[in-house]
Amino acid sequence: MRETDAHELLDQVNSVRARVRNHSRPGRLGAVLIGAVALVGALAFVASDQLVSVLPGCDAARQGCSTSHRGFNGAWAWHLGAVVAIGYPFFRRYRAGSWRPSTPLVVAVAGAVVLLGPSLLQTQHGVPAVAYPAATAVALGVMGWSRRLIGVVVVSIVLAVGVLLAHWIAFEAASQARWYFAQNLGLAGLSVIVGLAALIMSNQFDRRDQS
Amino acid sequence: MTHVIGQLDDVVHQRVRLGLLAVLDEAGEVDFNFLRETLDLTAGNLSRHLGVLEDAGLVVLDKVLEGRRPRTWVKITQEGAAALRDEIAILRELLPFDGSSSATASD
Repeated sequence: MRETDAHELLDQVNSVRARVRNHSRPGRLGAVLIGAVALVGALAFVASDQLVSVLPGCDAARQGCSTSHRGFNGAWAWHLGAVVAIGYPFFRRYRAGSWRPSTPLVVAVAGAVVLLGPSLLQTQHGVPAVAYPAATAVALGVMGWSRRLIGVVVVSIVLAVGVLLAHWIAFEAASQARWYFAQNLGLAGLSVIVGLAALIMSNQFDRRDQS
Repeated sequence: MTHVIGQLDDVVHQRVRLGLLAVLDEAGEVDFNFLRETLDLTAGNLSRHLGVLEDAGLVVLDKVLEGRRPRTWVKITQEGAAALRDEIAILRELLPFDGSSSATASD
C-alpha cells in the first residue's frame, strides 16, 4: 500500500465522520428556529412578569401575588419551545434514519422531567420564569455537542440546575422589583446569546481532527 | 519481520466497508437508506458489503416494520468498532513513512 492510499482512506474516514456530524446538528435553520423560540419565550416571560403587577392582589413589588396569577402566560411558550427545541434535532435525525429511539422509556422519563419539572417548581416556589428560557438555551448548547440519547438526559439535568439556581436568585431579589426586572431581561438576553453561541461553537468542535 | 501492512484485515480494509464502519461508529445506529445516501451507493452494492460485515460479526442488522413501512437499522458491534480502530491505527502508521515509523519491511 502506498502512502497516498493510506492518506486517501483516512481522508475518507474523516470526511464521512464530518458528514454524519453535520447531519446530526440542527442546522442553520434549526438554530435560528430554536433561538427565535427561546427569545419569544424569554420576552413572553419578561412581559408577563410586568403585567402581573396590575392583577388584583399584586403590587409593584410583587407582594401579595399568588403564583397562580401567572396562569396562562409565557410558560406555555416555553413548553412549546422546549418540545420543539429539544425534540427537533432528534425528530429530524429519526426521519433521516441516523438515530433510533431504542430506549423510549428513557426518552419519556427525560421528557417528563424537562416539561413538568420546571412547571412544578414554579407552582410550588414561584421560580422566576426566566429560568426556563435560560435553561433551555444552555440545554440547546449541550444538544449541539451531543448527538446521542445521553444528550436528552443531560438536558434534563441542566434544566433542573438552571431552575434551582433561578429559584435561589428569586429569593434574594424578591423585594427589589426593579432589580428583578433587570435580572429577568439580562438573563433572558444572555441565555439566548449563550445558547446560539453554543450551537455555533459546536461546529468548531466538530472540526477537530479525528485522524 | 512482517510489515505492518500484513496486519490489515481484508474485511475492513475495503473502501466502501471502511466508510460504512466509519458512519456507524460515528452515528451509532442508522438505517439502510441513510447509509446508502451518505456513501452514495446503490442498494445492491450496499447490501453486499453489509452482508460481508455482518458475516464477520462487525455489524448487526435489525429489520423492523414501523407502521407499514419496512426499515432496516444497522448498528456497529464492539468487534466492529475495535476493528475500525485497528485499521485506522495501521493506516496512521503508514504515513508519513520517514523511517521513524514502527513499520518494518519484510526480509
